[in-house]
Amino acid sequence: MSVESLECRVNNPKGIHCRVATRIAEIVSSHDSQVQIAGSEKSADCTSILDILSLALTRNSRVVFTADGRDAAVVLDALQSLLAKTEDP
Amino acid sequence: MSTNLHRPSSDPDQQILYGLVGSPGIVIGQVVVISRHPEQTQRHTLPNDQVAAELLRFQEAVARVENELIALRSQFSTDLAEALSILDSHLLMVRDTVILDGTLTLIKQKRINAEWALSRILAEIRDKFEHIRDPYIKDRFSDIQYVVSRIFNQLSGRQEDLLGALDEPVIVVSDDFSPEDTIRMPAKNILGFLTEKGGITSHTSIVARSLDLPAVVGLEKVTSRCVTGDTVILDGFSGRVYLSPTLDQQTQYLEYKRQHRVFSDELAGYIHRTSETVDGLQVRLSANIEVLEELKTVQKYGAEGIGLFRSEFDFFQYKDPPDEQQLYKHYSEVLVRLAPAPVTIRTLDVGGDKFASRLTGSDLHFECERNPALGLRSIRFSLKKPDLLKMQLRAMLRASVHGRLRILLPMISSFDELRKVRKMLSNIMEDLDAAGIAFEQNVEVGIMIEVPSAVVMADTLAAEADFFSIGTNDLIQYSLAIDRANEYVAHMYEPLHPAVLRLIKQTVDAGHNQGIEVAICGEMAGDVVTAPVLLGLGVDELSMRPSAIPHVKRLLRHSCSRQLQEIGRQVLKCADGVDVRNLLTRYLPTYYPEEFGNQCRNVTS
Repeated sequence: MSVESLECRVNNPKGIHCRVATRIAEIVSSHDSQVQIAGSEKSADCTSILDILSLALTRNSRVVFTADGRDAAVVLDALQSLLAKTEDP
Repeated sequence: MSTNLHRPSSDPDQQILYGLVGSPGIVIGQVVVISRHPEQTQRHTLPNDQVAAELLRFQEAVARVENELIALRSQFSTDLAEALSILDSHLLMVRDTVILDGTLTLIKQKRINAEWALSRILAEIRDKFEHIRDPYIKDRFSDIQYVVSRIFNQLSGRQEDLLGALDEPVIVVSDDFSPEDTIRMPAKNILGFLTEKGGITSHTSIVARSLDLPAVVGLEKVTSRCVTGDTVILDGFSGRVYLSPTLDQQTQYLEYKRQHRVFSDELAGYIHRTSETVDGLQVRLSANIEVLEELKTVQKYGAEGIGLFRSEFDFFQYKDPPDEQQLYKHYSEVLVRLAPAPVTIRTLDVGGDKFASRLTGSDLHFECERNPALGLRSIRFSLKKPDLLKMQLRAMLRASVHGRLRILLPMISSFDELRKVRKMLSNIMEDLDAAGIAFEQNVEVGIMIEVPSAVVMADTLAAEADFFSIGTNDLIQYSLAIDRANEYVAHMYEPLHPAVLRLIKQTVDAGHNQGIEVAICGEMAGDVVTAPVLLGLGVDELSMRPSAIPHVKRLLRHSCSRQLQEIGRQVLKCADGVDVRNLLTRYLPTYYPEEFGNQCRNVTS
């Protein structure tokens, strides 16, 4: 068991919109770890697309993912590469 | 063409609405206005002993919506990536803990009815979204509202039947349409779409374009400016909508529309002709399909068979994996509909990662694969899970008596894999014999050529396979070592790379030396620029999206085999993809003046 966190920046020009949020939720659901996403004020559970959307993370926002579980590093890797992209998943 | 048209002059009394072009095309017809009234919910306090039942009622409603969405998803072809991704978001929303757990908790704590609890939750979400400034994210509230309204419908037992009973085709008018709406409305009864909301990337526009129906969106107050039964002109080229047009205007528009249809009608004229070159060389033009619903377009566009029936859908449609009987039923249906034309069914072609996460009932647990494209996918996965493959092959064999079946094995990279499946097939045949179940003894078994090692060994494989089908998408990825989804290298993904073309040629030669047919079923087959090259390399069959068939057929019918062979010879001498495209820029306009005469840019793009 490990808790790991990752700070990264939203590169998608439209921010974390529906498609990105959908992908985040899909990635997290296919792993064992519990993952939270935090913006500047609030944080949300990554399995909830509504929670993620309601953070209203626009381009260049800084976000922190915190993963807790045996595949924490793997899931964070996947999320990092997703957020690094400028194109929609 | 548009320059020939004299648009109706503006009459001061004339009512014209100006919107945005969502999808091009012109129609004149009657409108049906669909308006959605917000739900009126009432609060009831539940007796203690009814809370559990209410929780269950809500959960069942959600499950029904989920199943409905999954079923709707199945009706979209995978070409519609955009619409599919919207549906995927909706599926996630309906399962979202904010809605699900939130409502359940409210029902339990306050002992209130599900409708009221759900409306409270929706109000909470609305509050959150109202504070969002970013318009793109803020807009997503409409998706949430949509999903929630479906749950409401299920709770009230009211089935929303949009235009279900309609028999005259109409122009549908609404605030906005979701992809689910559009698929629930029988496409043959829709002439076009008008919406108040939306831009060219709105759901309505995306779906309208994919259905090839005109749409004008962003029309202010259109739902109140026209009434069901009104006749309007929808000009999906200029974004104008004429309310109560004069007969004169209608006539002019019909002429305008006629000109625009000349091209597609001309293509339609090829549907019932044989697919052969001017000098009589025949090439089979067949269809790639994924779901049974596509069979009507297969017939509409005159496909001469199914070159690729992707069989994954049956495995992902429902929560439980399919049983043999269900597969048998579906395979039989395709075979019967197409008989005597060949139907090529590919065995399950999925990555292990995808499978484990999507197919419940799978007892395989995959560690995240570091490199899934080179991992346990496709035939490798099937051989690792032989019961699943056996069931599928058995269903295919049983169905084989209903038409001409060809079994296609994906991603074969070694001789051993083909041998294993052959062995499995002969065991199943013995079982079927013993059980007295009929099947076609000489069913054809072919392999996909999509891994470079299979090309290198094609001569050996050809001795054991009954046909080859080249999957160009993967062959390009594996031979050029390019992941098309990777933005850093995507520009190097070049279907016309001479390396790819030589691999195709090598495969064709190896197949023909052993007297077996070689087909192509990747995207290249349905592209009018690359199709002549493939024909020049000597392939026997091109399998593509059904709607691409008439265009490729027209090209084929304007071809002469000597010229095609010349193209085939020349491209193999090129040094790179740029060379190939330059060469095509010279050849194609000469050989196909009608097709490429003044649009060489199609080649160089």
